[in-house]
Amino acid sequence: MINTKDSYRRNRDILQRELDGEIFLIDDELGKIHALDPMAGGIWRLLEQPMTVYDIVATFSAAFPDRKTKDLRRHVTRFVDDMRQNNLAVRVTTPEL
Amino acid sequence: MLQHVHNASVFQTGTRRLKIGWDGAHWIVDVEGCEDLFAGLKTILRGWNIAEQPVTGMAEPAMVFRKSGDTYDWILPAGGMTATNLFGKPESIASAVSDFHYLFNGWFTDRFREYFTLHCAAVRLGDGVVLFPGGHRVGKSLLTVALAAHGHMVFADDVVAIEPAGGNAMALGMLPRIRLPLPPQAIGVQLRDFLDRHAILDDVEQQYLDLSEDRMAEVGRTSPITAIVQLKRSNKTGPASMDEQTNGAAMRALIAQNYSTAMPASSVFDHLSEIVSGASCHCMTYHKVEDAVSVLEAAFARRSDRQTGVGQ
Repeated sequence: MINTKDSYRRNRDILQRELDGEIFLIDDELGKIHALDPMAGGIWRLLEQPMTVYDIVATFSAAFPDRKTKDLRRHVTRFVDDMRQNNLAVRVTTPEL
Repeated sequence: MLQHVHNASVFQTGTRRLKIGWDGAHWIVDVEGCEDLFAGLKTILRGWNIAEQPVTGMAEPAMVFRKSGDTYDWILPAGGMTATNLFGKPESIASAVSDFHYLFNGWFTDRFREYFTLHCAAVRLGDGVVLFPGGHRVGKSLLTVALAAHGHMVFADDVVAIEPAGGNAMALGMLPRIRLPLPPQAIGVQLRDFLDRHAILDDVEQQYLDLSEDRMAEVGRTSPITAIVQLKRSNKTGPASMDEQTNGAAMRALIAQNYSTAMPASSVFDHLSEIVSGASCHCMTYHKVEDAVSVLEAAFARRSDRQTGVGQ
């Protein structure tokens, strides 16, 4: 499980393609193509720069004030963890920040 | 005096050998002690170069079938895969042919790596081929046969190849196979009659359908892909309906059905993207197969292609 205070960014080896506004991520090393739903796509866009889960949740909370922060935190944490496990996102160590 | 003879033929008792080839490549299947299976294997292929060969030690068979009591056991000598560790020993000729069908598709994918292979049905409607991406029990094989019954040409009911240049669909020349039992109430009397008249190999779980040359594309036949239709079979009665779908949704469907693993993922994406961008993308919900055929014909088929009833 990930720590919400750790920072993550995109894996720079992953290729991004868009089709009709949908984001697809291509991992040539593992031979996988991932289709992102809108929320995962939003997280991927935010991870262009290193960001903590805490800050991602804060950004989503500001954009979707009707959504409960607790629910957003659960979803964002799960998505970032999925991205990390699927080689799409990497944890950023302090020197890189 | 002993004579050294090259290419000596050694016919093993009751063993017959098939060499199945296309475009410079071939697969060899040995069948031991089972004439009806030997005949069955040949019947499902269209356009392949099929020749019976003497059983010699000069060539290694890719697959060997043996009749074993009430079952049709098989092995792939090269990798050691057996019927038991794949689906279990087939108990009928239809099931044994189905195993061959599955492995033969795998061989094609591996041997012809420059082609994509997609888990899709494909039928020529109008000016091009309509792809029906596979999904769990969406009824693509039965719909494919129903379209054949209306005079349209089947390119695939399960696996279709995509040409590396141009992105055309290419038939693998394998007869369609429907699962049994058929969904109750979802097909009409005429289609049921067509299935009965065209059944060639069947058991309680499946049925192969023999289709005439004008309704079954032989291996290597190509056609541009004009549409992609995702199928949703409904258990509730009601008319069939088809809606437009985004290119992104169609792309997701094709990615999920891609069998090719030898090509870099980025190349796979670019090829699939080209296919999706050149096709119209739809989603169809249907209950009765004939209703789905009517909707598809209205959308894609030329008037001259349509038949008023279920054909011969």
